[in-house]
Amino acid sequence: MAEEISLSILSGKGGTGKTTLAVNLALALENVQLLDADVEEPNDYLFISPEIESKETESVMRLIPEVNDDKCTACRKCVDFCEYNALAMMLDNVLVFEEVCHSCGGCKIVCPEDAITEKEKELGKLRHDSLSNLDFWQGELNTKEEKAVPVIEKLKTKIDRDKKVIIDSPPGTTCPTIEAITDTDFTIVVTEPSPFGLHDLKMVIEMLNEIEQPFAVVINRAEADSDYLIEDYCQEEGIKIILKIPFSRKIAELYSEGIPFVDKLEGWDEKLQQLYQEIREEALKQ
Amino acid sequence: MKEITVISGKGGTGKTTFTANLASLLDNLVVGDCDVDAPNLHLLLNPENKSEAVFKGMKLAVKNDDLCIDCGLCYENCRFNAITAADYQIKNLKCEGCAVCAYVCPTDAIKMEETETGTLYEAESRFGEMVHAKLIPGADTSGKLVSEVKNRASELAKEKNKDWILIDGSPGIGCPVIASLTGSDLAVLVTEPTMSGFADLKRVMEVVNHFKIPAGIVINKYDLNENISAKIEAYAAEEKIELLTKIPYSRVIVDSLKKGELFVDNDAELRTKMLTVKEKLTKILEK
Amino acid sequence: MGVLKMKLVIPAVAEGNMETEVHDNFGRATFFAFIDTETEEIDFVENTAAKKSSGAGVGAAQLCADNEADIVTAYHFGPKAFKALTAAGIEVLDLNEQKLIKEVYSDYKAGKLAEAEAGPGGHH
Repeated sequence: MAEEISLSILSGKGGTGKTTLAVNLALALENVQLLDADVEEPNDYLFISPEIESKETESVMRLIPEVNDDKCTACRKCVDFCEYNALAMMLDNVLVFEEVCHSCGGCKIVCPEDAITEKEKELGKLRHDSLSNLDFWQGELNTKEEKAVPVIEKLKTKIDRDKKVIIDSPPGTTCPTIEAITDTDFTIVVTEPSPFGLHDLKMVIEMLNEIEQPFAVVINRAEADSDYLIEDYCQEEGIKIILKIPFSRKIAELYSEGIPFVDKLEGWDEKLQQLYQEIREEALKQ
Repeated sequence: MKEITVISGKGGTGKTTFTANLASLLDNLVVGDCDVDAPNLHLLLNPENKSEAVFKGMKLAVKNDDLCIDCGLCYENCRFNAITAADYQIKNLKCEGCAVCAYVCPTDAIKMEETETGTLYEAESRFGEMVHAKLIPGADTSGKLVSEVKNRASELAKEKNKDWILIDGSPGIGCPVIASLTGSDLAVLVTEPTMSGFADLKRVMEVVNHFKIPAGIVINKYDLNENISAKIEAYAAEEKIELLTKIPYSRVIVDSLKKGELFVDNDAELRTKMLTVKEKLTKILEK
Repeated sequence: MGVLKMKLVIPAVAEGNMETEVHDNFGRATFFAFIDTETEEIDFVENTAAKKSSGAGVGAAQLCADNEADIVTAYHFGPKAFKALTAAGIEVLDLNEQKLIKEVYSDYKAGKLAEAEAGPGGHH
């Protein structure tokens, strides 16, 4: 069986067309896995599995300190050690503020009285739906939680390398994004032909180059009179543009209803299948 | 002096475009761009940077290899996969600055150092002073940098006796959004009539509701899906959020944006719409 | 009735005096003004908690408690700061329009400051 690849889809900003591409590409392919790693605001499910909340769910846990008041001598070593102000000492009681705790385990280590143990707290969830040709996983961060990376790490353990793997990454250049794209064979950067699009594209490319990740560009909402904004830059930098999705009111309307355009518009199935093959060739060359 | 923060929940709804166009209609103004991960407001306001300051948002572990005895205690105790197994080197992108490795190291080979995570800029735009910032890729703690932008914008506004502080807020629903909203008098939500846009609008309203400040809503590209647009209007009415305006899916807006221009300068109807928004905001804030 | 000796805390924009402006953020205030209600002396403590990357409200609350604050005033208390201060038995009062420290103090003496409620969810 031919070797399949994993690819991550990225954009500098939300709303550029990342989800559009991820979802439609996944639906056009066979033997494919789609993982929504945009755990703060996962939206792929709207197009793939609207009833996802009723499907198989798994918790992602993290560790929070618990103080044994009997053993605690109010020495404050834990409070003073914590870099995140997650602990406070009020009237000789240690208060734990779970939301800002980074789960580093430091307080437990520094406590001279062994008064700190750790308990599990749900950080987020993984949800799973298996459709005929598509294995769909969604990572989500619980409200009020901030640490996306551990949820994304857990999501990545579900990757099945026997399938074609598509990861819809969080937008931007911060740690969760880097976690989502690391270990994928190739990254597609989605942009749009505008000054905003170009600016954010440059920002993302800077990050990709720093982590030495192979990539190519897709222009969404492409238009003849403004594509040059992106094309000129890509040509100068030797960057490949592998697809243009045209500016189309029809595509926008379908998106607004949560309908993937690949189901409704002629020719896109083939185009996207070909896209995968092209990317696969590029990736296997690297 | 009144502070307005513009947010959107979902990215790409037109928050920054809206903010820039509104800025051109407010007199005696300071602008703050709190989207420190991917700042775009400067692309429309074209400010001239007058000063910049290095922002040190977090500590990172730094190792002195001369003192290292390869005991591996740092690696065993690191919860973030930030130390390599082979040669116990620190991976900066993964390090969260918790200082556990520094604590457990028997030879004091690891120290925690304040590290540059971004830059804060003070600038002049044609509509007033502007404070903006940029986080270094891979750096986190955007909430702290957002607070810096807000603080500086507030300070400037007080110094120069400004009437308005207009904040282009962070996208999303987390800590940077909360930091964008702290101390504001009014939240403007720019949304789009799509399933994802509506879902994210509801998520971000949970955050706004905590602040007990008035909110106004702008439905951008409303005629893309009048069905969902109507649902959003109904939701806004239920939640007592004032409908500030509905902007149609407009070629003028797209073209203006591509040229780096303001759509209020290119279309009289759109200009009138935005002036109505300004009136409504003024009225809400007077109450 | 004699004046109870209390330490009243007000977030400040700088180290100064009664004419100094109130800071509109509790956790990230630059300084805290401590007023001894008996002697009416004012002291300023630097808010070192603001330097940490998160939990500024908690750190600021810790600072107030460590400096024996009895009453803390602010425009807005996040839920963590509120929880920490009340756990320490510190009274929390709301500010609304006061711009200068002296205005807060006179409103306090006139009994015009209302009890605060836990505000909206600030994380950092």
